[in-house]
Amino acid sequence: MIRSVISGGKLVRTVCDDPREEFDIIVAGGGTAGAIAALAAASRGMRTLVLEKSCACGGIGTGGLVSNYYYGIRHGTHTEIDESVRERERNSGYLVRPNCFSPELKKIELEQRILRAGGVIRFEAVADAVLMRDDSAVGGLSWHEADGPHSARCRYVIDATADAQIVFLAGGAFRFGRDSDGLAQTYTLNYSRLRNGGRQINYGDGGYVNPSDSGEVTDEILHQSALLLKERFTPEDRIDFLSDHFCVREGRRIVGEANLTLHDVIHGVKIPEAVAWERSNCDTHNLDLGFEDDTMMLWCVAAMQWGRVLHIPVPRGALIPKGLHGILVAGRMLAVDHDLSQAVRMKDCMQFTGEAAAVMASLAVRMRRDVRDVPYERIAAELAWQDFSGENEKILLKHQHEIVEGLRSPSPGRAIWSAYRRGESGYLEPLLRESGAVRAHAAFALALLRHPDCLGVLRELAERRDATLAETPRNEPHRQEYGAIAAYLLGFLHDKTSVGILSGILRERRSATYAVNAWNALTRIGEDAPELRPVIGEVLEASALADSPPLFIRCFGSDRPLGILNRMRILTAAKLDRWGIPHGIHAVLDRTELTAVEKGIRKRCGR
Amino acid sequence: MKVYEKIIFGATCYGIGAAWNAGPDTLILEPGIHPGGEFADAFDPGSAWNGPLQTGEARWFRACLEKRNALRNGAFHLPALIPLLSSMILENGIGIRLGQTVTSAIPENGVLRIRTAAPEGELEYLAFSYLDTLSVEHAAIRKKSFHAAISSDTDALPQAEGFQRGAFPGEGYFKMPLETSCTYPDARLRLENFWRTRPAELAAWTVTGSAMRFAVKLEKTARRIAPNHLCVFSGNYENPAAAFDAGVAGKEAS
Ligand SMILES: Cc1cc2nc3c(=O)[nH]c(=O)nc-3n(C[C@H](O)[C@H](O)[C@H](O)COP(=O)(O)OP(=O)(O)OC[C@H]3O[C@@H](n4cnc5c(N)ncnc54)[C@H](O)[C@@H]3O)c2cc1C
Repeated sequence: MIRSVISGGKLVRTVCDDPREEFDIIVAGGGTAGAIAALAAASRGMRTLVLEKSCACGGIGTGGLVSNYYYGIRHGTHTEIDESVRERERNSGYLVRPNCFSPELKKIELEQRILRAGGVIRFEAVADAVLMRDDSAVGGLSWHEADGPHSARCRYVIDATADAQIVFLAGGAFRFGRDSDGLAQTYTLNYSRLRNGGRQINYGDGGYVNPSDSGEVTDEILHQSALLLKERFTPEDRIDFLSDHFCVREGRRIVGEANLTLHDVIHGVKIPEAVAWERSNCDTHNLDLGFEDDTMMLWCVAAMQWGRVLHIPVPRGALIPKGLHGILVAGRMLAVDHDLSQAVRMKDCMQFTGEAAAVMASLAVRMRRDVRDVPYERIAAELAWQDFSGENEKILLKHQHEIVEGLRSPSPGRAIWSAYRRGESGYLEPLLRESGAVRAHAAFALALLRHPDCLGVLRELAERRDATLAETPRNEPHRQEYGAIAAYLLGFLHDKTSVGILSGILRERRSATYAVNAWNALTRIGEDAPELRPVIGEVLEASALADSPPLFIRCFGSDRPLGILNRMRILTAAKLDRWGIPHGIHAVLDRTELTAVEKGIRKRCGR
Repeated sequence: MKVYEKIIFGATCYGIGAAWNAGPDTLILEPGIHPGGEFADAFDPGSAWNGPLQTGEARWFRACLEKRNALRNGAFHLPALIPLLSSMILENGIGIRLGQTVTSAIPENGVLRIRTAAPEGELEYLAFSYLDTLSVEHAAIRKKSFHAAISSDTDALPQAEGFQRGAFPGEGYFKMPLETSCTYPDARLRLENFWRTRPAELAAWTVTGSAMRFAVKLEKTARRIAPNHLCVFSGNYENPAAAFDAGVAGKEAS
């Protein structure tokens, strides 16, 4: 066999002996998805091994203290497990928080079921290399335990490490983060605490991190942990314990045989061969939304759909790493884009992807075929979920008069999106001449349609920093003032006339939202219009060099201030370098103590 | 490739102590995410906190905990340990990488080639010496137990074997002794069964969480593998301050 690792950043493959031990399926990572995958595989008679680097099953869902469900579809083996956990909780004397299951008892339920089904569990076992039969066929794993190295052969590996660690070690392709600055979703250092007489879990966000960079991970964890040090600990407000799982929302995402995007989901594209369904809003925690891509900005900000619950089919190809055989993934590293990974990560769905991967792998083993050649009907028959196709399209308002009515209301999001999807503009244009918020709403809808008539209203809104906030079902902190939305849309439409307005916004730093949107808009306009680059470049540089007013966002759920000035400096410097405009930002950055995350961005920008 | 003076496996209290005065050519590699995990993750609040400490650094460390109200009359608020050690590491500029498991330490031309399994894949380091403060050889285990953090609105924790108070009312730990071959699933099941049928005087106490690793004591605290490869098991010390003290002093306690 061939031992495959990434060593010192390079793919290294060396010939090695065949291991003696053999399984049908090895699951790497016995977390949220992996534990269910192991149970589902063992229950189907597969000789199953699960390797888990911590000392318990359930991952973030147990050890990480995420013991509630956010939306999702209650369906599959895990719902039976949760019912058994409820039974176990009765008279157990274990802590059960409101609307949560007991993570401790779920650990027990999971491992006992896997063991009863004949599965083998190795705890404190770190999968560290992949055994390959040839260049592309995975045929086993090697791992490290306290007593040294181990390895085993298998027919299928299910990578459930949350970070696609096995696909990565096998040389598979993956993606990470968003395009603008390469950052993924924010993380949280979860802990259990006593406060106001009750025991709660802290889910407040800590900031950004690349979980596959141990330098960044170390820096963030130590700083976050140090923040919990108190001048004086008190009995009333205290921590019980810190989770031993670093709770990360997004890591590596595989490049799959099918790659799902938010764009497709919200545009009603038919997605064939679903093996699981997610039901969630696009739950981005990133409050510097101007660094997200257009799909996200248009959906969450301009059309105010952050809180909209979507039904998202996960196609079988999203579990199959492109170009590799004998391996599937389950959990939050599915082949979805960064936008959609903010929805397709909730526990119900993640557990179900574990079951789906086990069904797919078991059928492939039994039929002695590549999983791509297993008839889809066989897979679907074993999973038997309800079909939610067409559900998302129900939000669309069908008639013009409904749309106009929506645009006249203080909660225009649905109408804006419907108008855009409908694709006509004639009936919207007269609304621009009316008074009140309807003008803004019509302008937003027309902007999505890339209709130039909206520019006048957008400029006006941006110029006067219009502070209106639309009503949305959850009135979330992602809502942006109309002036800020307009600033973003002026860039989306490459409006050269608005350079002066946008420069003013960037200079004044009214808020991080305004500044990021204006920065985004100006750089786009500059991309499109080389003749404006000297003017724009000057504004960008001046803004990057100014130390005050401070520029920070508040982390979702924690209110922790997160400085973004250095990030904007790094991105501005990279942009000006590309435009060939000399500037003094690198000199400032060289003198600044950057966080590991900021250093990572700078490195990705070529420094 | 940089050759480190010393690589320490484990951000344990002993390991941090050993790195304390060592300067930038020392690096700690820690497989988990918690400094002091041999106590904090094992839910082991330690004992004999008032024992003598050899080094000023360790006395300062203990005084820090007292000043912050985390160590009161020998009872320890264990969750204070990770934040304190984290801030000590940052303030002292100790070189450290979390999330890296050392998989081998092989002598090579007068240095040691140390390999880790890391999120980045396999990483290699060179060092003149290697100090392992974490690894547990199964055969060397003398005592093993599985602990739970327990809590209550009352403060009536029985003075019985296996129960230990934290620093605050309603904060406690239950230590369940095990035979050395006991697995995690067995340990958790036993804890569950014990707690379900616990004695009446414990009725007001709930299990808040179970340990994230076994608490173990080894036959020997220190073992020399080679002149430049030493194992000192930090979990063998009575409490975090004693382990830190020994690390700072470079003492290989037995
Ligand atoms: C802070 C936070 C709050 C959340 N809140 C909610 C919520 O309220 N409701 C909801 O439904 N969802 C929530 N989510 C989302 C959800 O919890 C996660 O997306 C989901 O649990 C991820 O499942 P997973 O199986 O991919 O990863 P995990 O559960 O993390 O499992 C991965 C497992 O792999 C193991 N592992 C990794 N590498 C190796 C290796 N090399 N060898 C062996 N084992 C390895 C890990 O130890 C871990 O156990 C939240 C997520 C976060 C981060």
